Amino acid sequence: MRLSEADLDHLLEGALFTSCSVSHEWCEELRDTALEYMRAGAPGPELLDISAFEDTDLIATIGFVNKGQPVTELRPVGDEFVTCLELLAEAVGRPVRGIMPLAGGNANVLLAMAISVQTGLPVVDADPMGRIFPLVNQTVFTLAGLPVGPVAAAGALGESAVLQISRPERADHVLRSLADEFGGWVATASYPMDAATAATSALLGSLSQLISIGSLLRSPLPSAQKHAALRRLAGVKQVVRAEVAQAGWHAHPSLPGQVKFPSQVILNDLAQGRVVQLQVENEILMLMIDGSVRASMPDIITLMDPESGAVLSLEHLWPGNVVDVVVLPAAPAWYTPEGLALAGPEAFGLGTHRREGRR
Amino acid sequence: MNRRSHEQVDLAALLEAPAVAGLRAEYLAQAATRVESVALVSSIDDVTTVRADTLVVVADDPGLGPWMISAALRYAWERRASGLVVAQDRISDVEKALAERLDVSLLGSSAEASKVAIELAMRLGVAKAGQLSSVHQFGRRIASARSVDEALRIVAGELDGASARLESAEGLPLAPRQGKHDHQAPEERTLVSVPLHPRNADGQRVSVEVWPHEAPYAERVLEATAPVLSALVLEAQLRAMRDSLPALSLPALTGGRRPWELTAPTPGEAKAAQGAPGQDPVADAHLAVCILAKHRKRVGAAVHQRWLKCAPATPLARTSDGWIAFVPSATPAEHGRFARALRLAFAEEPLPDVSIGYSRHRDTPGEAASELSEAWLAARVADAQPLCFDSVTAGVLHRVLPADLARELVTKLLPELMADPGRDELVESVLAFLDSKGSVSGAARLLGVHRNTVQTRVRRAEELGVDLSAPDSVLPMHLLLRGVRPEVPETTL
Repeated sequence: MRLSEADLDHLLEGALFTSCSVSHEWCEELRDTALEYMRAGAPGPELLDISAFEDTDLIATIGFVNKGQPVTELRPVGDEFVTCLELLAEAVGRPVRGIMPLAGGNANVLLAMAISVQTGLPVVDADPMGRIFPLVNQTVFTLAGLPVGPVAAAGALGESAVLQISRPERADHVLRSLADEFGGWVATASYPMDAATAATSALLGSLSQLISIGSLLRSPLPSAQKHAALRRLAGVKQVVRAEVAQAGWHAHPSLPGQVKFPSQVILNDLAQGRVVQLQVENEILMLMIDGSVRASMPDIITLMDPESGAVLSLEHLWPGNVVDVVVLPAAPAWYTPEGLALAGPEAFGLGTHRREGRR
Repeated sequence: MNRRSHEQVDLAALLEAPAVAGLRAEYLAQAATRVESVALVSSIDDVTTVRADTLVVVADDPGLGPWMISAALRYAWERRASGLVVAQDRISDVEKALAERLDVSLLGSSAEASKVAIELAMRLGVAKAGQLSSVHQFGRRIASARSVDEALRIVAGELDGASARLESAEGLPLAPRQGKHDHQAPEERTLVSVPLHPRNADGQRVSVEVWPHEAPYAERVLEATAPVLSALVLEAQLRAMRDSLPALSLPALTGGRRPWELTAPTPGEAKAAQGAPGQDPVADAHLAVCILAKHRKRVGAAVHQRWLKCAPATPLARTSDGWIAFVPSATPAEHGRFARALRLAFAEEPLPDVSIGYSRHRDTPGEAASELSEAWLAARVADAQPLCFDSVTAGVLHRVLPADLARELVTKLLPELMADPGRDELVESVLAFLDSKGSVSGAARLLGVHRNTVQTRVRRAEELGVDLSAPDSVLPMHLLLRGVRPEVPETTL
């Protein structure tokens, strides 16, 4: 289906909901880029079910990979992903027929829409993460044993590269190094595969669900009704309403071979006075209440405004603010032993703590 | 309060001077915290496996994220650990707030975790040994107490003057409270209470109010005190019971006459006794019981124990050769009920050389002396079973000719009779004939048979050796045959 401007707004809201991050600015900018093309006469991005593709159609996954440098600091020229897709097609020997975002949340979702409008390539209603993860190899494609490469990469300064990488975990290291060299970030096109393969391994329907979630969040429904509707739609649970007491935004120096500690935000549960702790690093990694782990990676932990039910960013975690902390489950593949090994608490240095309600 | 017999050390006591080097209490739980053991863990998850009342020392690990201390506190709370010791620099306001919220003691250590754990474990061992010694010494002191009041004073003294008291099952004080009661801060004290009898948690209790950190030791002290107090209480009760017995003696009752000289009062004497206070020491309708014992002191406790089963409200009065008692008995039914209860109480396990007799039912009061005489005579004649004066003649027979002797004699003297197939009918007929003073018709009526039948059987018995011809032989033969087939009449109950 062709997405309208309203769909893009909903998609933006949904993408921000599943990836509580520091700022919404870059996502909004990418949405605006798509809108700009549309208002200039280009058709809106086409979102297609995987079944709409031929089995042998080449599907590529696109996304930004950065090395600590926000993309907004060094803005894209606009042709980086076009370059990547061309390079990837050349490396594979076939044209790319469809694209999907590298992550099912945050900027890469809107990126896919902008690229779709720009290139006319349809977007597959799917993604390989179902949420946002920090590493390129943290995808269901890795769990399925699919190769990440060849990977095409391009920077804002016109430099590009095609990487023949077989091990997904190596891809993240190499691309980040490349991002460092390319100015802080790099556009990538990776995980080239047939539509038939994508049909059995990608998380299908994830983008249309984001649109549904966003539509709910942007509706005029009262906050309580939004929560109820989100629970029915996506299993979203409102865990606690709390006031931020202390925000320890600090970076712990990492030791060799060890994951650096996330920042910690302390809140007070308004209803019961419980001590709420959020461990945050780019996104919320873990939620603890009175010392008990209530949610942790790969659960999606995000924030909503108690009054309006709107999505909040990490910028709202400042002393005195009241937020609703909500949790929704990630795709089932992430709760398998292999999924937890790749993207569970231990992968983020959070240990193997027992989580209440989940064995 | 959970009663456990093993050593208990309080966390506050463990941390007392001299302070453990490098250890600082960031938060101490409000409730008294026992420490049973010390555990050194290297992983937060290990906290989930510690036993209750364990002081957990977490080895410092650079990879220990701040949330891990929170998780460790939570686990410590779930496992009811005594507290958590972590590196001092891992503790921030969050951990202190969480420790306070969960009421789990949190201590910061600037020394190496293993050293802290070893020092705490050593202190724990010393404290436990010290407690054992203290309780042992206290046990010797409390054993010397000669009264309940003295025992409570010793308890109060051991617990720094804490208020100690003995209460009944209903919470009523059984002895004056000892020690000082702190009216100024009663809500801060902890009540430690221990039952006197381990199997009767709802019975009498000894209690003391102490500061929370003293509660574990106080419980040990009371556990050592309970058996001593129990014995003192029973002793006091027995003494009170004895002191409350009426000043009754046979001479006072009998006016100096010996028991067998006592007779029923004349109507004039009885009338004079009624309504004349002091004339008869026992008012209202009653029955007298006399218990004779060859070894009174040896069987005294056993007699009292059995007596309490049938007449708990009536004390026994001690005499030179036993005990007597006057049991209220207004009607024959009451008399019968008491007689049954008396039999049951003393028949279960008969006491050696103890015989019991009781008087007949009387409709009128004022005959205590006569009743006592009956009870004494019945006791003289009774064997293992309590005997009513009503049945004293049957008892006399047992005294004169025991059943086993009678059987032996008859077998020897009347072998043909004993060998006869109709022996039982022949003996019954002869006894009925003798009971009827030689009347065949009377015997026939007794047995419910024709007089000819009786006549035939008596003749047959004579043929088999039963000699009823000479007057001198009738009584002995009567006694012998009665001994063979004793018929102790059942008292009508």
